[in-house]
Amino acid sequence: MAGISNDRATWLAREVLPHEPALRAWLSRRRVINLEIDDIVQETYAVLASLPSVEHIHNPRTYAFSVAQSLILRHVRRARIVSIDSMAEIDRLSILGESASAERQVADREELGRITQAIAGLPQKCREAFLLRKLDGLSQRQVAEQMGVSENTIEKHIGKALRILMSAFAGGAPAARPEAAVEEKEGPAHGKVRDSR
Amino acid sequence: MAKCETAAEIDAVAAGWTARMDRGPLQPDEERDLQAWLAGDQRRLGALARAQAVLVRAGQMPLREVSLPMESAPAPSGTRSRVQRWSAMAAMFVAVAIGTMLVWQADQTSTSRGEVRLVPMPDGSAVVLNTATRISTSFTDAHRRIELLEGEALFNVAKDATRPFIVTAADTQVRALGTSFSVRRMPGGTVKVLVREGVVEITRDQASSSQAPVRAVANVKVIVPPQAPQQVTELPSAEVARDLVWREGVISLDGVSLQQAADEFARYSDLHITFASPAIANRKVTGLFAANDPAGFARAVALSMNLSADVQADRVVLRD
Repeated sequence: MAGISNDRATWLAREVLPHEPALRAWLSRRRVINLEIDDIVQETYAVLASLPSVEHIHNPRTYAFSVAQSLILRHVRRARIVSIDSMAEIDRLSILGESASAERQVADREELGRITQAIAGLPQKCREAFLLRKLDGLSQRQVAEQMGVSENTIEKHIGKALRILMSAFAGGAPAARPEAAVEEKEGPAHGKVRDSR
Repeated sequence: MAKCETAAEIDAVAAGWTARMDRGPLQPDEERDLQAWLAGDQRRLGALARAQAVLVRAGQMPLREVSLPMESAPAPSGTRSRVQRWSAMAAMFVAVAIGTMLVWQADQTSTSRGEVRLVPMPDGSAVVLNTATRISTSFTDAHRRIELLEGEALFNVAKDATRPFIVTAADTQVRALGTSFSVRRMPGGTVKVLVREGVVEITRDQASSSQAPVRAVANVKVIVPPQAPQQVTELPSAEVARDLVWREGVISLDGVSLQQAADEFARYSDLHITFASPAIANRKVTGLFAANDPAGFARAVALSMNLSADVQADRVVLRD
C-alpha cells in the first residue's frame, strides 16, 4: 500500500507529533536565511517515515530534532539556503539539553487544548462528520448514511478537517478563540457556553 | 525538486489522499497516481505521513466533550474518571458542570483521594476541591464562611460587597470580596494561600499571633506557618497558574527531586513511588503529569532517566 504503515503512523502520532510545536520553535530560533520551517518539518517526517525500523529510537523527540538538524546542514551544504551564522554555529546547536519525558507531558496537554479548539472551530457538518468517524468509529460509508449525504462529501469533510488539524498540530494558535484557553475568566458562575459554530 | 510548491500546498494534497485512504483501499489507478505524486518531491511523503499521524492522533484524544451539543449535555455521572477525562478542558468543564453537577445542599463537602471536584456555591461562587479535601460552609445574608478542614481548595468568589467571603484554615482567616484564590493546609500545620485575582486579607487568631492583617494581591503567595510570622512572596503569574493546575487533574513539577515528586503523587493515590537508592530519589524532574497515574509517571521517568519501573500491587519501585 502507498503511504506509510499504520504502525508507523501510530508511532509518529504518539512519539513525534506532540513535540512538533517545540521542534518548530527550535527551528525558528535557528537564524538561517531562506529556511522554510514547514519544508524542514515535512522532510523530517519523510525521513522518519522512511526508516526501516524505529525500534532502536529510545528518545523520539531528540531523534526528530537531530534529523531536522541534519536536514538543515544538508541544505546549507547544497547552498539551497544561506546561513547568517557560520556552519560552525549550526554545528554547535545543542539539542541534547532538551529533556524528553517531562517536555512530553507538557506537550501532550497543550496539544489537547489546541486540537479541541481546532475541532470546535470546524464548520458544523465537517465537525460532525469528523467526530462520527474518529470518535464513534463509524466508517466513512456509515457516516454518509447517517448524515444523509454522499461518501464523496464525507471524504471531503474529513480531508478538510484533517487539513485544519494539521495546522493545529503545528502549534500555531488556531483562529483566535482565546476564550477557550483553559481559564474560567468570566467566573464559573456564568457557566458560559461557547457557541459551537 | 519541485521547490516552487509550498509546504501548505503539499499539506492540502496530503490531507486529501489521507482522507481518501481513510475511506477505503485505493483502486490500482489511484495507487499509481499516489506513487507518482510521492515521487515528485521528498517533502510529499513527509506530509502524507504527518497527515496520517494527525488522523491517528486525533482519534486517540479524549474528544468526547467536543461533540457534546452544549444545549443538551447529558448529566455527567460525577464519577472520578468522568471528571478526570475533562482535564485540560476547564472552560468546557465549567460550562457543562455548572449546569448539571450536584446541586449544593449539604454544608460539608469532601473529595476522596485522587478526586478533584468543582462545587458551585449558592451565591454563584465556585469552589474546586483538590484531592482528599473537606470543607464546611455556612452562608447567611450577612456572611459567606467556608472552613477548610483538610486538603486544598481554590475559591472563585462571586462579587458581593455586602457579604464578605471568609475562608478559615486552622488559625488563619482569608477574607475576600470578589476574587480567586487557593488555600492549602500543608502537613505540619502550615497554611498556604495563593491569590490568583483580586485582593484578599489574611488574619490570624489572637492566640497564635498578634500580627496585623496581611493584604495579598494577585500573584502573591502567603505561607502561614504555625507559631511563626507569615512569609509573603510574589510569583510570576505563570507560576501561579502552574501551582493551580491540579484543577485539571494534573501535577506540576518544576525541578524537584523524585522524592518530592513521589510525596506529591502520594496526595492523590494509594500507589506509592519508592526508590531503590537515595541517589535515584535525588534526581530532578520537571513537567506536568496526570495526578492519578503514579505508575505512568514512574514509567515516564524510568524511560527518560534510563531506570526501570517495577510496578507492584501497592507501590512502584524505581531502580537502576
